[in-house]
Amino acid sequence: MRILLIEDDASLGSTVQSWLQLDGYAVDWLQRGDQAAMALATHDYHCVLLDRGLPGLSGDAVLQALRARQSLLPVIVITARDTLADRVEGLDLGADDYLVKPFDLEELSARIRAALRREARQPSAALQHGAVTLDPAAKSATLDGQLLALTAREFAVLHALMRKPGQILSRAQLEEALYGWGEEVESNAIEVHIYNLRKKLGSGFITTVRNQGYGLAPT
Amino acid sequence: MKQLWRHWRGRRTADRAAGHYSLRRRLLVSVLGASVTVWLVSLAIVVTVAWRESSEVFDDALEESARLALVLGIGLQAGGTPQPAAREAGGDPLKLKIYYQLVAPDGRVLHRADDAPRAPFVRDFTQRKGHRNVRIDGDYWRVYVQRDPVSGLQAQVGQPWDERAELLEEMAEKLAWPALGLLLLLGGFCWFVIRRLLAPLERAAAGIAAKSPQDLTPVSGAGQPRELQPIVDALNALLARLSGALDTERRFTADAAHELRTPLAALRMRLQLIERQRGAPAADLRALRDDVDRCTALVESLLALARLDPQRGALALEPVDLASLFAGLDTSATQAHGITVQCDAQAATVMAHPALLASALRNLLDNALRYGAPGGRVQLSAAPMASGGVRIAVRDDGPGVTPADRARLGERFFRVLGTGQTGNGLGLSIVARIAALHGATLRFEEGLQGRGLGVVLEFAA
Repeated sequence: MRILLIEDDASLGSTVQSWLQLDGYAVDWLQRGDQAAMALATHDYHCVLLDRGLPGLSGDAVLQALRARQSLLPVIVITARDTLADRVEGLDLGADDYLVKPFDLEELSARIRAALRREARQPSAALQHGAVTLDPAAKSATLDGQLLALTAREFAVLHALMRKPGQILSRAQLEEALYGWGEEVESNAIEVHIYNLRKKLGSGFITTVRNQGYGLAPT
Repeated sequence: MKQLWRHWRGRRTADRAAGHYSLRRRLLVSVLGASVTVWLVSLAIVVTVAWRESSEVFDDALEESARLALVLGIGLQAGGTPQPAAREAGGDPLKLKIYYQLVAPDGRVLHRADDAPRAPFVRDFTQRKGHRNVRIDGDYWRVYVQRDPVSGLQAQVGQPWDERAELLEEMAEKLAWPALGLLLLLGGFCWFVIRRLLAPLERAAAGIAAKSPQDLTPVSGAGQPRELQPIVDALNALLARLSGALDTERRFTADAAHELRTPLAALRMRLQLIERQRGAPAADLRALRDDVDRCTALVESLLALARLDPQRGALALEPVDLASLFAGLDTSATQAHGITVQCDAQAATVMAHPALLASALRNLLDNALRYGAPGGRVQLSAAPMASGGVRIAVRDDGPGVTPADRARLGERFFRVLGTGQTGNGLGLSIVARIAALHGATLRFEEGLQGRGLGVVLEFAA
C-alpha cells in the first residue's frame, strides 16, 4: 500500500511517516502543495493524507485538481482547522475523511484502513480469498484458521493482491505499493516475496501471468 | 417619602463630593437669577422715572398755586375779606392738597390754609421765587416761595414729602403684584422648558446605562440634539476602540491557541511513535503523554472560549428539550468514578442554543466528576421559575467550595487550590461566557444536603 503524505510541519510529517511505515505502508512525504500535485499526476497511490494549509499550492487546490481528474483516490484531510464550517467545506471539496489535529495516530491508522476498505468496496475489515484470511488492522493472515508467519513485505504483497482479487498486478505496481521514495529496491525482491508466499500459502494460491504480473487463483 | 428625601440628600452629598453639578439646576438658577435682577432693575428705573416725573408735576403745581395765591394775596391786601376755603375731610390722597401761607415782608403770616403751619415755611427768603426743602416739627416739606417785588408779600406753598412718598408707594405696590406674578410665570416656564430640553440628555444616559457589559455596539444618535452629537460620537469612537482592542485580544488568544495545536500534535504523535517503536509503553513516556494531553486540553479550552465571542451577534435560540438534552449527555466518565448521576427535568424546554447549552452542561458535569466525592452523587435538575424562566442546576455532594472562593469561580484560570485535580481553570469561564451569551445568570451555591457545590443557571423567560 502506498500512501502520499502532504504535511508542511517537518516534525509532524516525519512522525506520521514513521508511524505509517511501522503499519507497513510505503509512505511518500511531501511538504509543498505543488510537489504533491506533481506526485499525484505521475504515481499511483492508494491513499492521500492532505494538510489544507500548504506552501506552493493549497491543500484545497490539490484536492480540487485531483477530483477534477475524476480520481476516486481516498483522501483524508488532516488539519488544525476544526470549526464545523471548515469540516463541511473540506468534505464538500472532495475529502473522504476529515481528521483534526491533534489526533491520535491509532485513529489515523484506523481511518486509513477504513478509507482503503471503502475504496476496495470491501464490506468487512478482514479480507478473504479461498482459505486465506487477511486482517489489515491486526497485520495478520491465516490459512485455514492457522496463523501465518509473514514478514512485513510479504504481508504487504499479499494485501495488495487480496484487495483486488480479480486484478493482475505488475511487478512495477507491486514495487510501487511496497516501497516509498528513496527506499532501495532489490532487482528481484518481488520474485523473492512471491516465492516465500507460495511456500507458506501453497503454490496454487498466487498465479503468474506471463509478461503481465501476478494475480490470485480463482476460488 | 422620607426615604425618597434621604435618597435625594444622599445623592446630592455624593454628587458634591465628586464635583458633580446639575446642569438643569444651574440653568434654572442662572435664568431665574438674571430674570429677577432684570426685573428689580427695571422696577427701580420705572419707580425713579415716575418719581421724577411726578415730582416735576407736583413742583409745577406748587409754583402755579403760589402764583395764584400771590395774586389773590395782593388783592386781599388791597381790600376785602378773605374767605377761608373749607377743606373736605379725607378725600383722595392723590388729589393735590395745597398748604399755602401769605407772608408779610416782616415775616408775619397774614393768611394761611387751615392745616398749613402757623409759622412761615421759609423765614429769610431773599430771592424773587424758588423751591426749598424745609423741616417743620419733624416733617419734611417741599415749599415754593414767590415774592411780589412791589409789596414784598410772599406766597409760600408747601406739600409734605410724605404725601408724595405715599403716592409713590401706592404706585409701586400696584406695579409689584402683577410684576411678581409675571416673574413666577417666567420661572415656571423656564423650569418646564429646561426640563423638556434636557430630557434627551437623560434619555441618552438611560440608553447607555441599559447596555449590557458585552454590548459594545454604537449608541444611536438619532433624535438627539446636535449639541449631544459630539458626546455620542466620542462615546461611539471609544466603544469602537474598546471593541477593537477586545477583538485583538480575542483574535490573539484564538491565533495563539491555534498555532500551538500543530506543535502539540507533533509532540504527542512523536511520543506515541516512540512508545510503539519501543514496544511496551514506558511509565515515564505515559506520564509525558498525559502532560501533553493536559496542554492540548488547555489550548482547546482557550480556543473554545475565544470562539464564544459575544460580539458575534445574537445567538439563534430555539426551544431545547431538556429531558432529551440530559439523556444525551455522556455520563460514562462520571459513572466510571462511581458517581451516580440523577437527572430531573421538571421543565419541558428552555430557549437556548442547543450546542452551547450542551457544552455548558458537559463542562459542569466534568467539574462535578473532578471535584465531587468519589462514589458520591451528582444531581442535574431543571425546574420552572415563578418568573416564567427555567432554572438549570448541577449539584454535587463533594467537598464544595468556600464562599470566598465561590466569588472567583467564573474567573479565567482560577482554580481552587489543594484539590489535587489537573483542570485548567477555564471550564467555568466557558460556562459563564455561555450564560452571558444567553443573558442567563450564573450562581454558585451549596450542593446536595448542605455539602458540595451547586452551579445554577437561570434562563429568563
